[in-house]
Amino acid sequence: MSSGPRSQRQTRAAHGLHSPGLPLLLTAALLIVAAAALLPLIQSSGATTTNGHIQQLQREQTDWQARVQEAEAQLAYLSSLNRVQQEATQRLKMKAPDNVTYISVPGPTPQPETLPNRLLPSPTPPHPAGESLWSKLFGWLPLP
Amino acid sequence: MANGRNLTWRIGLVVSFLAFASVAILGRLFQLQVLEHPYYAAEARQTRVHEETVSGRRGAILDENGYPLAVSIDSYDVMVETKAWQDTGKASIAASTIAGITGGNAATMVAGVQATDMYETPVARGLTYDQASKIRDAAPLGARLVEGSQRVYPEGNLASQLIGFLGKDQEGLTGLEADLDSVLGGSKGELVTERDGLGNALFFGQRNETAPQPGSDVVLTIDRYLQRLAEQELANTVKERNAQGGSIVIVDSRTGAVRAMASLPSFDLTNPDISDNSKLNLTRNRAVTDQYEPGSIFKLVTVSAALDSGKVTPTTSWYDPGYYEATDWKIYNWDFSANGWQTVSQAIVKSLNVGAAWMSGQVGPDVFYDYVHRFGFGQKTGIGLSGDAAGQVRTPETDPSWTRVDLATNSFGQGITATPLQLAMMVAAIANNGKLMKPYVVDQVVGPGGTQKTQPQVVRQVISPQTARNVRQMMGVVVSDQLPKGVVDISHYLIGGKTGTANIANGDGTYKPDTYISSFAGILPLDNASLVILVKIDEPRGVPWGTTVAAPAFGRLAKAALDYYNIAPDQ
Repeated sequence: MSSGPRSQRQTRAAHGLHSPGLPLLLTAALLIVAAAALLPLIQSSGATTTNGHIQQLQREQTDWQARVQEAEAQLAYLSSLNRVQQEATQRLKMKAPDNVTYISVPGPTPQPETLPNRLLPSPTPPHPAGESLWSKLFGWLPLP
Repeated sequence: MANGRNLTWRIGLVVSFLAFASVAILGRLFQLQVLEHPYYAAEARQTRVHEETVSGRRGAILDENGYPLAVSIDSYDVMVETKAWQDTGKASIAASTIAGITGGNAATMVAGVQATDMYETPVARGLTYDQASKIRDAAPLGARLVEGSQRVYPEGNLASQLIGFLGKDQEGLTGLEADLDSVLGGSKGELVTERDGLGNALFFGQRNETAPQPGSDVVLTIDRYLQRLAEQELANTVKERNAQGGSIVIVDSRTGAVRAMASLPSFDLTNPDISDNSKLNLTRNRAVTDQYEPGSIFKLVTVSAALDSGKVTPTTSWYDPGYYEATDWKIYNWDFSANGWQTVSQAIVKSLNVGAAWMSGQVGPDVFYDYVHRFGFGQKTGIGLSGDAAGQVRTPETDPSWTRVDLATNSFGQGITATPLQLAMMVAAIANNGKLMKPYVVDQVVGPGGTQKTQPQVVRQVISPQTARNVRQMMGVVVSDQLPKGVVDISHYLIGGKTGTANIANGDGTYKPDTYISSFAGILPLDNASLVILVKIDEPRGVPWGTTVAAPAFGRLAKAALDYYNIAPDQ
């Protein structure tokens, strides 16, 4: 009767003997719990770092937009009629012609010169018609 | 035992007190945390979370070739926290830093901030990006940058009344800025940020942004070169003739696109002043809003009606005794001449009031007013600008006081009112083989969602192409034979036109003595018309005739426009 499991444990305890796996298990469990606790911290740290990067990039974007706007306005001032006239008359010493001579030439009238639509957005380029992902994936199949 | 009971009683008292206090605290907590939770949550949010409305960049206004007439750029204001500048020594250092970048006066900045009891005070406004960057890097004490927007006008005051201006809140107040405010302004967004106790945004704090939609760019039909020419010519003529003002309208007769629209007096677009009504009046786009009695230019409507209804032909003869009797009134020619037998063409070429009155008598009021309405008089043009006036046309149906005298006087442009734009469109219909086009100033709207382009619209076929051709021939003779040599100095091109000299009504049925409106409307080139130019000069001093006041301005404009568009000579 004394050889039952309870008596065995009591015997090992009496001899100061413990299971060698228990501290290891406890340590491992502790490490797992610690790692699990660190995981959200790492996640939130990553998220905040990304957030910081996004904010920094947004600030840079705003700065560049401001620079572009100022450059556009500067360009507009430089190409204004007042400045063009000033440059023509003062710097290049140009003046309006006294007489205009018209010469009749056979052939169609030349098309009026079109000025650049400098501030209008250029037309969106068509999407390149490349091979689709699905085609690449299943390209080896003998499908029709 | 007695001591034990006493002790128990005292402990009981303390416990009861603690229990009561605990219940009270719990109750209060329940009240704060549960019952009044929404209120305190909102309060806390208000303290911590900052919400601001963010505006998108306002769209630009461009001329037909893409040159900007009005654009928005970012600008920055420097705000200073008043408390931070109470120490004069530290404030002076910060102010010197700011003044060194902005060019302001440091002492004035410090004095201004210390004199106010507001939380924050602006010390510099409208800074450029570079200036703002330098201030941000220098980080002067108590200063922060507030981003804003500024409208700039690269062409200066060009087309000021048409473009209009913005208020301090960047919303359009007059002109196209107001009429197209929803298109140009885009939609507003919202920026929610978490801030610390000093009001600075937390770097890793909450940040939610609903991005604003930028406004669309508006491309006008206005050509900046023609607009500038028109404005310069108008200013020179008004000055030369010591006139009160005037208008010039240039229209593409084939499409109805307005290429230039100038009026005087005007205002300074770059620094608008609307401190009183007289200054506010200067912002009015007079070419669209102001109606006047057009005078002899209106004879083009009368002859068109007479020819198109088949009542007369260009060669039909009539007798001019020097007057036309309408009921008890006698109508005289502008020069009180009696010309004997004349043709219909001669009536227009010589601008005979008696001839116009005779033609109106031939067609009768029903047909005459039908053509008047078909040409667009008495109705808004639909150009899409605020203040588009309809003008006044009295008819037997609409006005019981109408008499036959009204028919006779209306036939040569008196007793009837129209805007310069309406008259230009009438002449454009004649130039366009009888098709009246709807005028427009917005060619394209270029926005994030794509581009919308205005398509020219035919309002109606007013007269037949043959009638239009006959009227154009008469207008050609006006320019070639009737105007003094050199007034319209354009060789190698066929040009057509019609003069007008009108009295100015007082509003009480009488006319202002010795004050007139001189005008000239012309078509170029005559047989393959592309442009119609109307010049109107208000109250010129000296000789008032359209031939001498408005026609020379038309001639110079026409010559420049023909060169500019590279239109091939006719001869």
